Amino acid sequence: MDGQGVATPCLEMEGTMALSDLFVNGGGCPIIDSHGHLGPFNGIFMPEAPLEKMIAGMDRDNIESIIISPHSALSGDTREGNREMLDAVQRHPGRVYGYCTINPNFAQDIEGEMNAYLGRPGVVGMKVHPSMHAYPVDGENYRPVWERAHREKWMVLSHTWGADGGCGANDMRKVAERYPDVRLILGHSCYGAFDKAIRLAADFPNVYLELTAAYHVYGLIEWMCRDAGSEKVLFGTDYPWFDPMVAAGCVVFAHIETREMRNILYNNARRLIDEQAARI
Amino acid sequence: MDFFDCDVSYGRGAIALPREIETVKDLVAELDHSGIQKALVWHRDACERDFDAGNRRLLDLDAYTRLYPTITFVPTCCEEMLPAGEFVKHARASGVLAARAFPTRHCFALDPVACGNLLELFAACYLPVIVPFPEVPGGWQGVYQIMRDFPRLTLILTETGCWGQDRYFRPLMRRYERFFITTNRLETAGQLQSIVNKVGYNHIVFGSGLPRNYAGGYVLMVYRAEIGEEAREAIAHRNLERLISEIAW
Repeated sequence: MDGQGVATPCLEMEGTMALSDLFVNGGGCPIIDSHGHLGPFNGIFMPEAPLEKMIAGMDRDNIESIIISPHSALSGDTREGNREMLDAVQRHPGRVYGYCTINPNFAQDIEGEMNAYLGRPGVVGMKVHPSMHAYPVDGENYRPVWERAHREKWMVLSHTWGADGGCGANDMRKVAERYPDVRLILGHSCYGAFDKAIRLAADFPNVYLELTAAYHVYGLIEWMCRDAGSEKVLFGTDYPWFDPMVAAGCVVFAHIETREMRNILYNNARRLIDEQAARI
Repeated sequence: MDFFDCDVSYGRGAIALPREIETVKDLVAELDHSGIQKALVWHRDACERDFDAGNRRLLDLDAYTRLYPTITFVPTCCEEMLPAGEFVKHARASGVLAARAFPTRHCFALDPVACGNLLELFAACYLPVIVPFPEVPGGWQGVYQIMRDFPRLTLILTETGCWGQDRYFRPLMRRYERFFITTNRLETAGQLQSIVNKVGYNHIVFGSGLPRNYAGGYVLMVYRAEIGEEAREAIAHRNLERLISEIAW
């Protein structure tokens, strides 16, 4: 780990103190952010967008690792963004992991991008954004992605929102049914259709709920833990979009057990990353 | 560190929340859980059912010295409310420490024609007016117009959005002494530190949005932001305490 500011894991600090108290007092426990980005994005003032500022912010907030898809891969030339991803992964091994972003609007590139990045050290899965790329998640151009992810058991983080519309819970259910071995991460947990997302995660062993943007909704984390299990919930913040401490605060002040908080903040993502590394 | 929250509500509405705060007792328990000592409170009915029904509910707060009522208003044009002067007297007698408006939901214009009589009085007695940004007709242009029309108004804008909207609100902070935003959804990474460093901490008050949001998220953000202790204390409670102390009925 190349940062200087990462706090001692809370296993050594914890006594009778609640995890929330540890965080309030400047400590806490290691965190893995499973939904990160990199670089500036139109329309938003983002003070920590550059890579080195992200690393400094991760040091500050006890973020051990983050899995990223650069904004350039989502809103620009995806090939350029994937190169940026790999560069960040190689500059900060173990701190920064990468998703190979797939843009279905350039179908001719998909096979080449997957071959170029999947299997490289630190690249742990793929990222799809059906909303930004204006292409439904069950559309034909995504088929090679799902088939390969199913065959090789890759993690795929998809932006999800609502119930329908190309990346809603009902759309994601079709993917989960057809490709059950994909480690399917529902980015934002189908924001606004949380009941359907939670049901999906409960129904399929390889479907995970991810907290970016959704973390703030009071009572949602308790609901997820109760109906899907804390083992199915991943911490994420869109960093450098959202302040990881806001999201962490929502987790550690939720009315759940400390064990469940740890699963969300760290253990689940650690397990997925390690399993992915073992398969390569 | 003390926290003084300008934006908490309670009550059951027609749409169930994932976790409800139905009663004042529930609210106090959650404030304790989140480490918040004091709050300006409104009832969901004031927004979702009827402003007057919500205002009447705030009598529930009488038994709690750490909770302060905020009164919701609409224009006086339809005579649903007391005349402006009487309304202000009623607010004072009720121990109210801020007024609240939901112009979009309640279908009115927050401008001199519709609300000038009320807003001029609120400005004159330094009574803070709390408005959720999504409720402002016209979005940010609407906010700019309110501040042009009422430059002495103490406006606390909540829910300014989680996607760094600094290009909109920083000019207002620099221009208008009595323009404020809250921590409710002010959660772009590094944003709080950047505002404090570049604009100062005087224009930010603590507001959680409980029970829409986990209050603990914003509590932890304030604790962990890389800002000085003076700024941290100001944002957590002192700025709002100062505004309250300035109310001059």
